[in-house]
Amino acid sequence: MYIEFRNVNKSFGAYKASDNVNFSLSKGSLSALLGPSGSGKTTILRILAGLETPDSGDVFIDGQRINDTIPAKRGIGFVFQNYALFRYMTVFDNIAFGMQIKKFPPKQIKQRVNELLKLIGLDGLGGRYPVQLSGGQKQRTAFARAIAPEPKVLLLDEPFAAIDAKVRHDLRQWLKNTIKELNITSIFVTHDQEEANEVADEILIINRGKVEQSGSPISVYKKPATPFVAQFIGENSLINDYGNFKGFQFNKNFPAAIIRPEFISLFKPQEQVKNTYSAESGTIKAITFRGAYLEIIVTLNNIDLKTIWPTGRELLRPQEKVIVLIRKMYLINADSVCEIENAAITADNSVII
Amino acid sequence: MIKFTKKNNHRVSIIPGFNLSLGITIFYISFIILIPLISIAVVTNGITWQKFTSVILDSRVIASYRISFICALTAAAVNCFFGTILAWVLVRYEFPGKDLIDGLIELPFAIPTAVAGISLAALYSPTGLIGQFLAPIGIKIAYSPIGISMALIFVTIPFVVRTVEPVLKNIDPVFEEAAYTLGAGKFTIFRRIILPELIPALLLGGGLAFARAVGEYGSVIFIAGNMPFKSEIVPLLIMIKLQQFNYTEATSIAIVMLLFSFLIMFAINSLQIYQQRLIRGGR
Amino acid sequence: MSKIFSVRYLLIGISIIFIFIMLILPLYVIINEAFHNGFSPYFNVISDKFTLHALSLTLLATGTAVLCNTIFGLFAAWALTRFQYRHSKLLTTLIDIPFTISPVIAGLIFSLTFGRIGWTQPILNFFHIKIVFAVTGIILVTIFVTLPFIARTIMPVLHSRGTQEEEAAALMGASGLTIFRRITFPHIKWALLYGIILCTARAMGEFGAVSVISGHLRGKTDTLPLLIEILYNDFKMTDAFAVSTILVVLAIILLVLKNIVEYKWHQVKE
Ligand SMILES: Nc1ncnc2c1ncn2[C@@H]1O[C@H](COP(=O)(O)OP(=O)(O)O)[C@@H](O)[C@H]1O
Ligand SMILES: [Mg+2]
Repeated sequence: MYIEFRNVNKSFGAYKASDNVNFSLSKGSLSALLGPSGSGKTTILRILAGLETPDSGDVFIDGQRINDTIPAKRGIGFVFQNYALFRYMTVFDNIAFGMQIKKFPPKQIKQRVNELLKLIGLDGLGGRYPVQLSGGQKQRTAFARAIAPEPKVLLLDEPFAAIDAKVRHDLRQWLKNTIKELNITSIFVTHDQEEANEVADEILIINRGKVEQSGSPISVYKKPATPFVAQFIGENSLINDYGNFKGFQFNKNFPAAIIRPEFISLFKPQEQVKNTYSAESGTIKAITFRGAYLEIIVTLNNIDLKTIWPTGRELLRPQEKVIVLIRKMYLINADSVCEIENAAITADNSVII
Repeated sequence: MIKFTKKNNHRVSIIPGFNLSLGITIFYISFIILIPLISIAVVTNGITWQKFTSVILDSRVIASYRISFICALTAAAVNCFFGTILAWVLVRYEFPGKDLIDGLIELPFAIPTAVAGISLAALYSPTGLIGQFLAPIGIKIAYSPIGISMALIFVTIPFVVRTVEPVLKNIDPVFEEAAYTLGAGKFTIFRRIILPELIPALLLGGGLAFARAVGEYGSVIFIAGNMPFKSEIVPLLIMIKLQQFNYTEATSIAIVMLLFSFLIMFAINSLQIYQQRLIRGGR
Repeated sequence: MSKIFSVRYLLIGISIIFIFIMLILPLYVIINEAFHNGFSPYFNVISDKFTLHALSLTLLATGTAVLCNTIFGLFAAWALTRFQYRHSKLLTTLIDIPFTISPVIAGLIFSLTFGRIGWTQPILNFFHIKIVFAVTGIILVTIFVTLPFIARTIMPVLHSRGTQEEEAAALMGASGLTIFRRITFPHIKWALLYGIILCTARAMGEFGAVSVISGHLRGKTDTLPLLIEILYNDFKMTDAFAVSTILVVLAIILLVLKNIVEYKWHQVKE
C-alpha cells in the first residue's frame, strides 16, 4: 500500500478531529475523503502533509513512516481550499516557486512552467496576477503549482468548492483525466457525494473524525456498512413506522429505516402490476422537475417518501393516486445496518410460480 | 510564563521562525516594558500603606485627579460631537477641499505636543490671536481648565473621526432608504437608525481619546498655567515631585493613574473586539 | 429638498470652521511668531549650535527607536499572527501598554529602574553605564513610548490574511527568510511604512517621558521639544517658535508621506 494511516489520533482541545483513523490507498489511485463539513477531512489531509502533527499513530508513504519527516521532504503537493495562491506573484512565479526552492536550473523551470501553463490552459497568461484570474483558472493554477515540483502524492482540499456549478462540472472531468494521465497518487476532500462518485476510484466516508467505510463509489452505495453511511449516501427518506408498510415487520432492535428513491416503484392505477399483494396505494404530494426525471414525494400511510419518475413516462400530477411498491429498505439502529427485502414480494413470486 | 503547546516535541506549525520570533518578542517586551514596570513594584515595597494613602488622598493630589479627569472627559465629549460631524461629512459629502481636511485630521499626531502646547498658549493668551477677542468679554482660556481642555481636544481629534468613519462607511444605505420609505425624516433617521450603529465606535473613539488625554503632558503644561488646585494636572504633579527627587510620592500618584489607565485599557479592548465584529459585518 | 441642502452645508461649514480653528490657526501662529523679528534672527536661532545639537539628538533618538521598533515589530507580528498558542493575547496586551501609560509615568518608571535610587544601579555602576540624565535614557524611553506603533499596524494586516500562503510555501520547502521576503513582505509593505511614519512622528515629538529622563542638560541631553520648553520658559518666545518650525516642517513632511502611503495602500487593497 502506498499511503497508510495506522491508528492516527488528533485532538484540538477536547475535540477529537481524528479518532483512530485507519486506511490505506494504493499507488496511482485517486481517492476522495467524503463527509459532512467539520467531520475531520481536512485534518486528515493536513496530517498527511505534515501541516498538523498527530497526537498518536503512524503515517506511511511508500512504506516509509513519515511522522518525523519534515513536510517539505514528504514529496507532497497540496492544493489548498482557497488555493492560497501567492497574491503578489504572477501565475508564472507561483508555479515556479516550488522548483526555485528546490533549486532546479532556471532553464528547466522555465520549460516546465510553460508546459504546465499549456496543460492547465493558461498559455500566455503567465504574467497575470491571481486577482486577475477566474475561479477555475485560479484552481488550475493552484493545481499546477502543486504538481510542478513533481510530488509523489497530490492532496486537494475541496478543490471545487469555490467554483460555480457549470465550470465545476467541466473542471471535475478535466482534473480526473489530468490526474490519471500524470498517474500521481491523489486524495481530494469533498462534502459533495456526486463529486466524489464522479471523480474518485475509491471513497472514504468520514464522520466525526472516523473513517466509517471505504471502497469504490458503487460498493459503498450498494452496501452501506454503518448507519451513518446509509443515511449520508443517497437522497433518502428516514422513517420510523416502517412496520406499517405492507411486507415489512417492525423489529424492535431497529428503531428507524431508510428508503432510497430507487427502492420504490410507482405505477399508475391502470397499469398492470406484477406484485399486487405487496403494493399499496399512495398519493402524490409534490413534484419537482429535475430534467431527465421528476423528483416525487409520495404519501403513503401518512408518511412522505422520496422517489423519482422518468420524465419520459406519462407525467404524474399532484394529488394523483398511484400504486406504490417498496422493494427494500435499510433498518438502522445506533451502530448497525440491516438490509431487508419486502417479504410480500417473495411470497407473491412463489404464488405465481 | 508562556506555555507553548509544544508537548512531546510536536511542531506548533510548519511555518518556520516560531522560536526565534517569539524569543525576540518576549526578550524585547521584558527588557523595554516589563522590567521598568516591575520597578514600580520594587519601589512600592518600600512605601507603607499609611504613607501611600496620605499621599494619594492629599487635597492637592485629589484636585489634580479631578482636573485631569474632567478636562479629559470634556475633550473626549467635544471630540465625539465634532468627530461625528467630521466623519459624516468625510463619508457622505463631496466638496472642494475635502481631501485637504481628510489629510489634515492626523496633524495632531504629527505635530510634537510641546509645539502644539506653545502654539495654543500663544493663540489663546489674553493678547493672542483669539484670546484678544475673548478677554474683553471675560472668557479666559489660557491658564485655566478651559485651556487644558482645548489642548486635549487638539491632541485627540483624530481618534473619534477615524473610528467612526469606517463604521459609517459600512452602514448599508438600505436601512436608511427603508426608514425613508416609512416616512421618517432625516433627523429621525439619524437618531433612530444611524446613531445606534455609531454608539460602539463613538465609545471606542471617545475612550481612546480619553485615555490619551488623561496622560497627556506636553501640550497641556504651556497653556494650563499650572496653578495648584486650579489648573494642575496629574502628570504635571508627578513631574513636580520628580524634580524634587520625591520618588515615593511620585510613584504613589503614578500607581493610582496606572491602575486607572489599565482599567480604561481593559474597557477599550473589550469594545475593540466588539467593534471589529461590527466592521466585518458579522453580527 | 432645500432643507436637506441646508443641513449639508451646515455640517460642511462646521467641519471647515472646526478644522480651521483647531488645526490651521495653531500652525499659522507658529510660523507667524517664528518670524516675529524677521528672517535673520530666525536663521540665527535655527543655526545656533544648541539647536543643531538638539536636532541631531532628536534625529538620533528617533532613528534608533524607529529602527529597533521596526525589527521588533516584524518579529512580534510574525510570532503573534503566524502561530497559535496560549497566551498570545497576553503578549499582544503587553505590547499595548505604552499606549495606555502617560509619558510622564513612562519616564518615571525608567528613572526608578535606572536612576540614582534604581535597583539596577549596582549593575550599571559596575559597567559604567549611565542611562538617566544621558542620551541612552532618552533613546530608551523613546523606544518605550513608540514600541506598539509598528507591531500594531502590521498585525491586523497579517491576521486578516490567514497563514495559508506561508503554509503553502513552507510545504514546498521555502526557508523562513524566503517566505518572509517573497510572500509576507509584499503584503505588509505599506502597513509597515505606515507604522514607521506614525512611529517617527511620535518619537520625534516625544516630550513628557524624555523630559523626565533627560535632566535638561542644555547642549547635552536636550532634544528639540525640550529645547523649545527651555526657550519658552526663559521667555525667548520667538526663539522657541523658530525651533518649533523645524519640527513643524518635519511633521508636515511625515503627514504628506502618511497620506501618500495610505493612498497607495488603499489602491493595493482594491
Ligand atoms: N487548528 C484548529 N484548532 C481547533 N479546532 C480545529 C482546528 N482545525 C480543525 N479544528 C476542528 O476540527 C474539526 C474538523 O475540522 P476539519 O478537518 O477542518 O473538518 P472538514 O475539513 O471535514 O470540514 C472541526 O470541528 C474544526 O472546528
Ligand atoms: Mg475542510
